[in-house]
Amino acid sequence: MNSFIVRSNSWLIKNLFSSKLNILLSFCAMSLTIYFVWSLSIFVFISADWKVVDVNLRLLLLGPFPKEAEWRIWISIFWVAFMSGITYKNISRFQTKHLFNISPLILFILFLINPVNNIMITFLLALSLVCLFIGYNLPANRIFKLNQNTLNILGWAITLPLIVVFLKIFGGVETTKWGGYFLNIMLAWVGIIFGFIFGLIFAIGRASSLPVVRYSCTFYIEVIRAAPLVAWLFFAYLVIPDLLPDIFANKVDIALRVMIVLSAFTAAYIAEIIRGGLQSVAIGQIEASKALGMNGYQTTSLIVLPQAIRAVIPALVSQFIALWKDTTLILAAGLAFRELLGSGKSALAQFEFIGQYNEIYMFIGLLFWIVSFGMSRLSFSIEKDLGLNQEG
Amino acid sequence: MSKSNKIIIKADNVKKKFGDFYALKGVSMEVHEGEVVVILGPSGSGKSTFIRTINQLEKHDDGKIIVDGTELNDDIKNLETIRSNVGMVFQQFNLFPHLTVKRNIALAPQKVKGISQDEAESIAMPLLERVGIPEQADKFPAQLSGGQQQRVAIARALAMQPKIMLFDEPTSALDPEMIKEVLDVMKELAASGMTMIVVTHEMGFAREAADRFYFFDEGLLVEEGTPEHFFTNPKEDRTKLFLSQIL
Repeated sequence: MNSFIVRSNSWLIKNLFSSKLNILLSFCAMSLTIYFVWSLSIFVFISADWKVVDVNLRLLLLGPFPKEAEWRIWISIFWVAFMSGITYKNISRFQTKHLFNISPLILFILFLINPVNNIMITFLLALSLVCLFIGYNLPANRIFKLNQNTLNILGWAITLPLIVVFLKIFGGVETTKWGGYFLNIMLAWVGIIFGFIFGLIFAIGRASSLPVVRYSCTFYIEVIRAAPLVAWLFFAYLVIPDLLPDIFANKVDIALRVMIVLSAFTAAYIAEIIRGGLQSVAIGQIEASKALGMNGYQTTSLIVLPQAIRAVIPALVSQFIALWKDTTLILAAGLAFRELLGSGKSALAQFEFIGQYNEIYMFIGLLFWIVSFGMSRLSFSIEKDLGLNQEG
Repeated sequence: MSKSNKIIIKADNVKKKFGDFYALKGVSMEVHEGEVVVILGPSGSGKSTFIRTINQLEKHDDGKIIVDGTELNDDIKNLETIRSNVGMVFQQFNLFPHLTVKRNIALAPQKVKGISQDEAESIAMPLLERVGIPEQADKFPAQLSGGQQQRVAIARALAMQPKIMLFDEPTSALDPEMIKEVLDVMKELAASGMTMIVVTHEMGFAREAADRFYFFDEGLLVEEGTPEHFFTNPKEDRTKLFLSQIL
């Protein structure tokens, strides 16, 4: 114990109080930090009235999603939990440290749903934990006779289509009824997956030796990047119906149109990021691959792309996080949806909660932060796995 | 060293242009099966360009190249097959940094020959033993010294069971104390009867292992002969000047 105090003392002196300037800076920084933490705590625990979040929780998370169809979302959550279990087992062993890391999230969820009053939801959440546990312990690779990695990739690849099936089968929920946090998640998920796939295709296309392919990819990228996302959302909402023949005009699902715009928009940016990565791969790599007798496709997919994508993981994740937050823009384009931010605005329009901006926006901010931070940590651990990052 | 009379590489009046600059102005050469050929010459003489035309990393503009009975020209359909018969070792190693040493070696046999991953990796281990670093199999290239990396690169080329090996200044990027370990591997390879074309300035290796020398200058083959001839009695002035500078 004594030695601990001595050690922490010397650490403090070395890192915070080593010179007059450092003492001054440390003191200012500490005062500011304490002041902000203090006033935030006062607001969160004393002056804020969280009833607005409590009452509108369902609206914020699900929007106008019909209550009787909620089981569809629960099945999706179970599946995601199950897949997370499989992935968790694939990338690491269980450590108490991990439990500690996600404990704030668990506490937050418990605080949010208030388990005593919502026995059903608590039970369903516990059930998803069971799914995670099953995914972790099931020898799934032996059952399906697949390699762990293949199983993982395959599982996540079918997850999105599977969720769409869960939401749609047996007279499912119309996309116009999707809303809240759930809608943001779905839009971002679709945008990231398809944005990445098409971004990859456009990046390779732009590096192609065939002029027609190269110029069309360049043209696409330049056109998409020339206008802001909001403009493209207007385009999807207002212009596309006019361009289509009358019979189709109202048939093409508005949610589908938004998803296409988000994917197409993201694809252009992803393409440029990946192109940067492609240029960073040394020409000698391509020569070595060709000298071994590998063809163009093998060289690109096995040698060039893995190295190119590794080099641009931080930029890719930034783009994904940007897209995640841009999903709120469908509100600005005046669409019929109420995603999280829109739902928050409707909650603020309720008579009894008028003026409670702080509570609502702080809560919404926190929900966005959770996913953004999660993505950032995920990319961080991928980088570490690949031996690219020595930090942390 | 057992040499047959079979000609495995025949180059006839090979020319290569980069823009307006002629890197090769008409080079002719015949290499027999099992022969070890060393190409000498000052930098910019076209020696690297020439060996790169043999596996068509550079396409030649004029002339004729026949490798193992197949002429290399634009009509050629299975360039990949030809290339897999011609191994190449580069000055900068060019190992794949995202794969372990074992995967570096096993990748091409697995993908090009279509054998299973296990089979391909079972090819890798004996090769790593042959180049003397079996204990590095699961490391990544960046964790190895330059000499070890180059030995892995040799093992990787050998994994395709090539009939010919091309070495493009394999020791030029190495620290002096690592050159020997690479040259030892190359000497062993030469003694095993592999057909080799080596661009190098390592005269000790050349003297010991080579069957024939070729001296390039300004895109032309200036002089050829046995090592004996080059060391005792070179004819051309340019050869003499070059040898006096490096010996």
